[in-house]
Amino acid sequence: MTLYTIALLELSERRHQLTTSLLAVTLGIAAIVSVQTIAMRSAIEVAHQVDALGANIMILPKSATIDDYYKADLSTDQFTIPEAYVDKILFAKDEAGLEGVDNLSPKLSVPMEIEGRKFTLTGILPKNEFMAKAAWSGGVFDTPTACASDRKSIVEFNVAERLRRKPIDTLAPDQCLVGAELGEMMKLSKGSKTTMLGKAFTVIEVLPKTGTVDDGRVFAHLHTVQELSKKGRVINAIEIVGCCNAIAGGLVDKLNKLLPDAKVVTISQIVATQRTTNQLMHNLTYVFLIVIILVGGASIANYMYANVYERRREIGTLMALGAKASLISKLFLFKALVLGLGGGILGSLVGTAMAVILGPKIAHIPVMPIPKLMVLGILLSLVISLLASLFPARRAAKTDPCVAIQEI
Amino acid sequence: MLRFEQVNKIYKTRRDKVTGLNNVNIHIAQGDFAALVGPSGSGKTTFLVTAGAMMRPTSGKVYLGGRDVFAMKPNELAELRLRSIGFIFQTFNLITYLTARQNVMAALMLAGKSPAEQEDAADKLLQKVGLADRADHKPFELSVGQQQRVALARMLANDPPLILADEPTGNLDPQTSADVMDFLTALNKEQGKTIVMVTHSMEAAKRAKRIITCNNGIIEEAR
Ligand SMILES: Nc1ncnc2c1ncn2[C@@H]1O[C@H](COP(=O)(O)OP(=O)(O)OP(=O)(O)O)[C@@H](O)[C@H]1O
Ligand SMILES: [Mg+2]
Repeated sequence: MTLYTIALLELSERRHQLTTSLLAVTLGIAAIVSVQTIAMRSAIEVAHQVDALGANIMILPKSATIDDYYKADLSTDQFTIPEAYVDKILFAKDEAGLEGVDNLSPKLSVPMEIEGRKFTLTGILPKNEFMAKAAWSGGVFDTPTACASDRKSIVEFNVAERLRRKPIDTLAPDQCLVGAELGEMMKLSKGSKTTMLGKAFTVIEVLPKTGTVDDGRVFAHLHTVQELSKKGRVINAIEIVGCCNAIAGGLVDKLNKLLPDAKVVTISQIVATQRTTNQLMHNLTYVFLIVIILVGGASIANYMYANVYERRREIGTLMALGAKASLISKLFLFKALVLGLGGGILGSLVGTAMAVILGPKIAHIPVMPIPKLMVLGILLSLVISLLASLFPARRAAKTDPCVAIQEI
Repeated sequence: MLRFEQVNKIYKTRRDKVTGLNNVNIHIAQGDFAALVGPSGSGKTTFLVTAGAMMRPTSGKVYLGGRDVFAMKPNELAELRLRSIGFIFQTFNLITYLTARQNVMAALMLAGKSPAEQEDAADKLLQKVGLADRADHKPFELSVGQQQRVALARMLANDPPLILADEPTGNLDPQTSADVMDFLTALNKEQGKTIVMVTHSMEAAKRAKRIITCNNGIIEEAR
């Protein structure tokens, strides 16, 4: 028999009170862990998307948001801009002094099905099409060395992705590229044939995994996609890789003037709105933090005070038997430790489960557990529980041994 | 062994003051067996908890083994209660969620014995009070007489030289009372333990070497 067995035996005898108090702590920790998990995953996701995008300027329809673009739910006509905008930019590159556009990629995404499963088909323009555009005068795909380094500072890309970002040279009307996940799921590989929107395609390449929405997409020639979707010469967006110096020098303004009916946004702006959302969630954790400290702490303190009062005769008996005050306070602090640990572990598990289940529904991102947060949740619970029990434990230690003779 | 010098205890309640002990001067020698008798509310329990270093008197001094008890620091007092005093409560005060064995082990734990030593010693003590077969039962699963025996075993756990028993036979039938008295008498005779026992029973009091009376907080020799 040790102090700890006594404490555990006592805790297990009063399960109902224990459960109520434990529940308060568990819920509080669960709230913090879930919101924080979603917020952190969302921040990671934003960084990932930006990274995978490679572009730093986006030209979108006026009414569209970056979210619409990512969800690829752009099937309505109001979410399109004319493909002619691409030509406008290419013309202006020489005439209106629109320098610093290193790479541009128009895209049109439409929903489609392969063997009954829903996917997104994205039309892209291969390099040779730019060559064909009358006004093109070269240089669009040549990255000036001066810009290469500062672009990397905005978006840290990894080698595999940089490879993927190299524009496709040619793409025949019946050829397509498939994302890694989709390829795996539908068992498609180089040379396989598949049918999308009633047209037969040959897979010319399965793209390497990027960890973004691109993994679940099929890429085909823009003009083929336009034909199949019967939308005419329209696109959803133009992704532009601009030289940072040029962006700082007013490239966005110039593009805005050039294309008054489109929305020109920089990735930093996009990220800013995403960051605002994440910041909001982050701030929400502070609210939860205060609530858990108040409610959880009060609940534990209440449980402990009640426990000390209820057990006062027993405390007196132990003292009459020769227990020191320090042993009595240890007994109660150990109970607090068990409560804190139990509430922390349960709360972290429930919170993480909530984040994993609810994350995709409320934040539209896949959520994976964050072990570090779970550990922090447990530590937080322990600290709250111990702090809330300091005074009750002290009161217990101050118990007069002669309460042992008082009848209750 | 135990000496009271001009000890007064006044309980202060919100409305008035109640005298618990009134200028008590008494000496209980080593190996003595004293029975404390008196009407209800006369201060017997007050005397016992003061002697047991559990309650500080309002004034006066209590010496135990030559040491001024209430001049000690709190931890020394705890140590004194642990090593020198075995207290039997009027209501036994067993810990409800611990088994008979665990109740005895708790007292041994306080003395710093290892779990293995505790279990060994607890079983021997329960054997001694004839309760070996009920070691794994919780107090509410035991009869009142059996609970009293667990309390006796726990009191003996750390082999205290002074035993303070508050109505150890108060709740027991005549046969069980006689058993408990035999047990205490044997402890006094064979092991030389000093015993102060509060009792309402003249029969029990007669087993003691000495009878002390208590009236309105005044404690006197009866014979
Ligand atoms: N904590 C207390 N506060 C106030 N008065 C008390 C307290 N404890 C005891 N008293 C009073 O002190 C007096 C002596 O009480 P004590 O318990 O010593 O009596 P007793 O002789 O043991 O009685 P009994 O035979 O009924 O057990 C009583 O009048 C009682 O009411
Ligand atoms: Mg009494």
